[in-house]
Amino acid sequence: MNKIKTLLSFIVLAVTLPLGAQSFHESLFLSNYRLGYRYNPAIQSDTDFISIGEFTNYAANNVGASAFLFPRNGELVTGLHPDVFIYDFMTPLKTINAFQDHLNYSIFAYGFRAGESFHTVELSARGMSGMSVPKEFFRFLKLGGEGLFPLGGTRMQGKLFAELAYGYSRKIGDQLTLGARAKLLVGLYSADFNIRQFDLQVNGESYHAETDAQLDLTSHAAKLVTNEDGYLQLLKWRTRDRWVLPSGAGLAVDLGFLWEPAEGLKISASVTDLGGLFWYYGNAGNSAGSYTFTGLSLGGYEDLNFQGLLTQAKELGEQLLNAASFKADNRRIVFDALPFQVNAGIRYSMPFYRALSVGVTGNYSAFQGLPYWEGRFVTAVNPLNWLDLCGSIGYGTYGLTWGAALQFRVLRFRVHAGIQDGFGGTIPYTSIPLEANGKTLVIGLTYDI
Amino acid sequence: MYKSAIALSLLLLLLGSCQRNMEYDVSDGISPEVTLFEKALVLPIGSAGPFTLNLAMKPIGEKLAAFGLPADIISVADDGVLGFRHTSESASDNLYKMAIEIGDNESPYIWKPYSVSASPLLGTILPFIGINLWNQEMELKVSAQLQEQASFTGTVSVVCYDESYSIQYEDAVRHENLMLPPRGQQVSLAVFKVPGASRSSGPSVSVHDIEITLPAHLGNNVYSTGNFAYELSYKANASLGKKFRMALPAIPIQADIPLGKFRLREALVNVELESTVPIRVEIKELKVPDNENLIITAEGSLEGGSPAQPVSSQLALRIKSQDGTPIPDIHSLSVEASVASVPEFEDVILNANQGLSVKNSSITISGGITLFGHEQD
Repeated sequence: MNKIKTLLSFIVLAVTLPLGAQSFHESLFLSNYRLGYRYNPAIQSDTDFISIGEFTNYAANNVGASAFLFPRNGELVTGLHPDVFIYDFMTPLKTINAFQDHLNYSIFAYGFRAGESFHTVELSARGMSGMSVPKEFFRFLKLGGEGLFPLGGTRMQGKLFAELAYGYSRKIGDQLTLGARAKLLVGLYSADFNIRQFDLQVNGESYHAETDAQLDLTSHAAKLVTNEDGYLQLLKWRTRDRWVLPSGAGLAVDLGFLWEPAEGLKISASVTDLGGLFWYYGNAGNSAGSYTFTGLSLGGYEDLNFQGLLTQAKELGEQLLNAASFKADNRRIVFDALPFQVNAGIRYSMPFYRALSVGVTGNYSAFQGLPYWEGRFVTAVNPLNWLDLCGSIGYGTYGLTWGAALQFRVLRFRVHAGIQDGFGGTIPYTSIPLEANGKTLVIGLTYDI
Repeated sequence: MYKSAIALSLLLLLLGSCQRNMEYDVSDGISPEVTLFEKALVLPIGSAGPFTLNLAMKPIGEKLAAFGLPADIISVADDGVLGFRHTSESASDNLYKMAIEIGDNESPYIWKPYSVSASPLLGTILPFIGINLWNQEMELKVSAQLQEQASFTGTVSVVCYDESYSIQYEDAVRHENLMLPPRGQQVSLAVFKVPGASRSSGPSVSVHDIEITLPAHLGNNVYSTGNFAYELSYKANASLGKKFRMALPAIPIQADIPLGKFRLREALVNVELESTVPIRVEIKELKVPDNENLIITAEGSLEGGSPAQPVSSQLALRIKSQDGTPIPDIHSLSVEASVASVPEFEDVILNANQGLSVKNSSITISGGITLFGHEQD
């Protein structure tokens, strides 16, 4: 039973890792959007509502698939193909090539007005994952040769946590609305494998590596077994019947204001996800040191046989494993800041046709040292009471970007959906971007009370 | 106005779905062919050895046996010194007749066994091919077909000539009451050590006289067919002299090395060798018999050394195709080499503990390693 629970726990983790969350910039422009407080806690809904679910996925990559795939002679090859020159392969790569994905799944939300104030309560599940690989790694694979190769910077991480948020906004006078949300964060799972340093010195006499790597893995369901020297046995787990206990806890706040200095003009600014979680890594270890490989060390004639070579290879493998072993650190508690976002926007409703709005938005965020900023021109129209449409075009870290969103009402139900994407194109029949890109998908359902 | 806005929004939506670049259509798959380390893959292979002569003794003995020589012609002493050992000459006389002749009295018996006046076979051959001989020792053993052990008294004198017969070495061994064991068991009668070294030809030895006083009533103690037998054995240590030089015949090496699938352009194997064997090895030719397009060149030679003065040398083997095409599978190799002595180590006596060690070795593959590519024919 314990094994099944452990397995299920990891399946849940694996399924939810490639997901993420990002502000939905059109929140400011969709007139009847109920969940705008998530973009700016000062935004108030016109009516009380219940949100039955909203799914937001944000994926960003600072290099696209075209940095790794190359059309050559009628077929698609990788950058390591002999027909791809080193310059063509290296030029589009970044020093650190990263991919990240955020999920925010709003399970339930309730918003209600009390005079000039608006209150929201929301329960969400959030996941963040990311992976990064240094450019030098690909250069080494492509070219090889002798010298020093700094291959550090490889990192894989993912985390899953629950968020219980209370939001409050209040009109101050006729023009200003202030808002804030307090979020209680409960960590469920987190995994982080970070090779901070991997300096490889290559010459004909030896391969010498200086390494510093950290492995952090939370799990109450299972614990890695350590050997008598205190090193983690990465393939040996001891399961425990405690898999529902949280592995982390934290707090975060959103702050924002909405200023309406003139009729039809809204100026919005907010900062979200200020805070983070303290993760308790029950399975943590550090691997630091150096390892030198000088080839096989064979004896005389007696070792010159298959068995002798096998024995040598086995010994070398064990040495390598020992060198890469993680010394257990069972009391490791790490603060992990959420990727905060700074949002700003201006919306102006046309005096000759108030249902038509134009404006600009700006945004900045960072995750795993992967900063992203962008600015957009937005236009929105609310031609009918049951329909909102919105489109945007902008420029950001990854170049030109565009967005579109719609919302429609059926009875008291409102369905909204939106997309923000780049112009670099995708691999046909997939959603894999060819260029550096940030992509947000939103879909949700609310009910007006 | 609002119609324009709707149209604009729909246009943006369509924009996203029309960004497919068919050049990147992966539905037909992505070529798995990759070439890694295009500049070079430098890989340390490691060290090995020492490969001592001791381990080669058994196969050498088997080779000698194939030529009709005794398999134990080469022996290894406790300290590792290699010795050549050969029973070269033997002679006998009829002891029963001698016993009948002397009857009941003690009688001196003088025997001049000229048949053991000869050069030992090894002592003749080895200096001729440039192997110097040291610590040469000849031993005269005697055996008698006695029913019981008996006491003998006598003198054995020998004359030994060094190379070119320029110096004569004489010696005599006197025995008082030497006990001869019964039933033809051997006993050492005399051991003669030849001074110096033989560098151009081996020594020649003559057993001049064997004068023995036979005991009385010997006839009662001798089998009727009993002989008095002499055996001259020879042993020596060796070093490699100036004349030692020989070209080895082409040595075929069966090796299935599947390099074709990796499409290698050039491979360079660098080996640092340390030798305590006083032999210099020069590789004359390395070739792949079934592929003349493949060139294997050897740069450097294996220098000889001694236990007191190990000598390091670098050997580089370069493998590439003559026309620049990828290196194919190799099924066999042929090596032609010559060996020669090293003048400064001429007096170093061969020892089974001398050998060869690979101190450092590495392989450098230039032009990359292709994986999942099309295998060469």
